[in-house]
Amino acid sequence: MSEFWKITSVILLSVILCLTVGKTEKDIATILGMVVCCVAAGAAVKILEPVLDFLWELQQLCDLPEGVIGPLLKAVGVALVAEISAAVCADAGNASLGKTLQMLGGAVVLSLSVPMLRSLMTIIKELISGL
Amino acid sequence: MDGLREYVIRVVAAALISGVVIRLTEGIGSGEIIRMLCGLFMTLILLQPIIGRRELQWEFMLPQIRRQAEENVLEGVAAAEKIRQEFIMRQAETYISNRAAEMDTEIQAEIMLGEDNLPESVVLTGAVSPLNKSRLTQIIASELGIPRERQEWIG
Amino acid sequence: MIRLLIPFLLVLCLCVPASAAEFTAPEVPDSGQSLMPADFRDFGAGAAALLKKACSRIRPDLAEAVKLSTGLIASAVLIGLLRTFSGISRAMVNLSGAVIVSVLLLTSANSMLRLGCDTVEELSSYGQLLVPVMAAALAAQGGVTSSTALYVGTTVFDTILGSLIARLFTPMVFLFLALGIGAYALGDETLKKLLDMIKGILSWSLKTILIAYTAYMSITGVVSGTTDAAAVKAAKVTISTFVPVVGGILSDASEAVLVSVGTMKNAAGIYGILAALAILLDPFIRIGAHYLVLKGTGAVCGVLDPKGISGLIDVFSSAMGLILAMTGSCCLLLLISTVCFLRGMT
Repeated sequence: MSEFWKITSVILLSVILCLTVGKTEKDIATILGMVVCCVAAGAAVKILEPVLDFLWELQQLCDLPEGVIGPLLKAVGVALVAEISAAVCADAGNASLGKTLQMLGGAVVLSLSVPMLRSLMTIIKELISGL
Repeated sequence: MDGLREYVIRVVAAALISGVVIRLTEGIGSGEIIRMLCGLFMTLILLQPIIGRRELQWEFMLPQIRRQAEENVLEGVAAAEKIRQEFIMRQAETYISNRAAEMDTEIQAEIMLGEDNLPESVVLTGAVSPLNKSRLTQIIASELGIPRERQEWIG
Repeated sequence: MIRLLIPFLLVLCLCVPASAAEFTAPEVPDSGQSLMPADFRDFGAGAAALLKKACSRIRPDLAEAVKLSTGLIASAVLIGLLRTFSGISRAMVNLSGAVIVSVLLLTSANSMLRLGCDTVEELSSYGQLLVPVMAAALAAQGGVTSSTALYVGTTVFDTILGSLIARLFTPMVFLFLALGIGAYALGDETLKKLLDMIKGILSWSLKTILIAYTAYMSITGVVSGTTDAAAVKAAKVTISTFVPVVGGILSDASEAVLVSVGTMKNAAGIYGILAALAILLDPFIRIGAHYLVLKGTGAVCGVLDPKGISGLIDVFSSAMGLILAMTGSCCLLLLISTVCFLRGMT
């Protein structure tokens, strides 16, 4: 919990700094915002570590199929990174770059879903071949 | 029930994982695609028990079932044959005893059956006068089809 | 005097007992032992005695179901009261209602499902012992073709139904319950549609298997029965053209075998039917009691809390209904096959 308070205070401080610095040095404010976002994202991943460990534990305990959980978690990571990066781009005044980044994130997530789609097709083929 | 227990645990675990993933990505741009992925994941887990179920393909079991059916038939036919043979033997023995009784003679007959369940030979036990013996021999030969040579007299 | 005695003695010959082989139905398993009637020669009286015994044992289960029902009605009243407080969100109230109903009903649903699965297994095991006896008896009567065809049909359908119930339908009932809880907790219409779909699939599958089985057994019985009856008749004609006394004995022997085996087959068949009913009735009535009480409770809760937990209670009662359908189907399959074997070549 202490990590959360620390990061929250850092983010709030950086917001104030960006407001102050942004009046004269907009680019420094953007870079500061980007850096704090990275730090906060890294802290969020650290906080989520027990959750991720629990998910892997569940996967092993319940004998869930292996090639499914990994891509799912990768897709979550890609989506979150794309969303944060798009927000930073929007803050820097490049909304179009931000949207493109979001679209890129979506494309990567879709490509990660291909193995699952293939597994589903195999199941359907096996079901139909039994008829 | 063990397989069922495992299946339920697997479904619950998959639902937990999907729940966590959806909550993490709610409200972001690719959130809908992530939801779709979670739906696919749940579908895979739900359908897993019915993949590759060779036991449900009953055509592989047909030869074994037919063999069992044939065994049952053979058993039944053999049992019926045994019942028939016993009946024929008892009937023929009783007939001989009754014909002897008409001549005031008491004899025990033991019939042996041949092919096609026809009386083949007989063993006759009892004290019989030569005249009655001759008459009975004639009756057995003509009415039951057992020739003189295959009639054995004891006593 | 002697001339009068001869025909009398000849007639007595026909009364010579002819049975050496035994076609006896397998002993009923322990679960049905206490319900079996003392006299099972008369099917009607035996079935009535069986039903009477099973119904007399329903009281504890009915009491348990009524206790559950009281808890559910009390919950419905509470949830209904909660809904009237505008400060509490509808989602929270739905979730609370779903949790309460699940806590109250999941244990009994699980034990009823387990009871249903055990009953299906016992019926299947008993069928595997009874059907070969009936098949052998029918073959002994001359129904060689019918015996094979009916045995193959019964075994294949029994295997398919048993496998489907154990590996597919039982998990689907669990899924049905899980989806029901989710649908009423979250108020999701998509999940409710999935519920209806699963129920529809299960009901349709059971009905289709039973209809296909009944059709197969009826048609096979008629077709192969005609063939066998013709063969038996031809054999009788051949036998009768022999030496007079021996020929008479041989044709009487065929008749004696048919009568003797027929009597044993009927006795085994009636015992087998009563045994199958004895295995089924106790669990069926117990699950049925829960089903009916839950249906009534759902109706009452629908009055007390129209938008709430009555739907979820109906889901649980439908699950009980599905379990009843599965166990009833297994028993019906065994009963139909036994009746077809009893009917034989007619």
